[in-house]
Amino acid sequence: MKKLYYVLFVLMVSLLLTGFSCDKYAKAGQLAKDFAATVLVAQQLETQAYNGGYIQPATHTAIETRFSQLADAGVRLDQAINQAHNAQGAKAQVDVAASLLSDLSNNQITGIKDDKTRLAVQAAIVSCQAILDNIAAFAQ
Amino acid sequence: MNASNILKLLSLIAAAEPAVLGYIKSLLENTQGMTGDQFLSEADGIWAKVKANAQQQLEPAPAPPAPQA
Repeated sequence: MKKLYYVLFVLMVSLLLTGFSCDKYAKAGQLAKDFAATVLVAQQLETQAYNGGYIQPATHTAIETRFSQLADAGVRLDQAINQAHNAQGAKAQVDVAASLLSDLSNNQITGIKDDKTRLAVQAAIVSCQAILDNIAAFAQ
Repeated sequence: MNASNILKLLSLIAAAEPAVLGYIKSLLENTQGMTGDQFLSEADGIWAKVKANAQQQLEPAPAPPAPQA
């Protein structure tokens, strides 16, 4: 369980380290990459907790299903950013990803009975939402 | 906390969780020269990994071998 806190610490630090670029397309691309990387870490965190016996199989299945849908939405988000060459054409895909993260946060993760694990996974999802909010800001 | 302590802490974290090492590296590497296309290409690669991980987790466990007569 200590490892979970290490991972969370890194996630929080990473939010402060997200790079800055003058080019809006490059910046949107960099945020999209950071978003994908943070979702991957959140997924690895959840899987590790499941393998450790902290998450019930039914909850694990529901969460992994959402991660799979999130991966599909992420690819579509990348395509939208690429087509518009900024984030302005990507609003619809940002909304889809935000909806999936919200469902994870409000409905699926609440099924984790172990308090520490639930908080750790919740914090990782919040990190994902924070980066997505930055992309959404570009999409305005 | 000075820079040396931060680096020491990051080393401890990386040693504790190898999966995090790649993540830190990807965030700290010099990305100034990367284009939007390159970032998106890397993002797509990461999404493919998320998808593959999810599929692996969602696969039903293999059925136990049938008892031999």
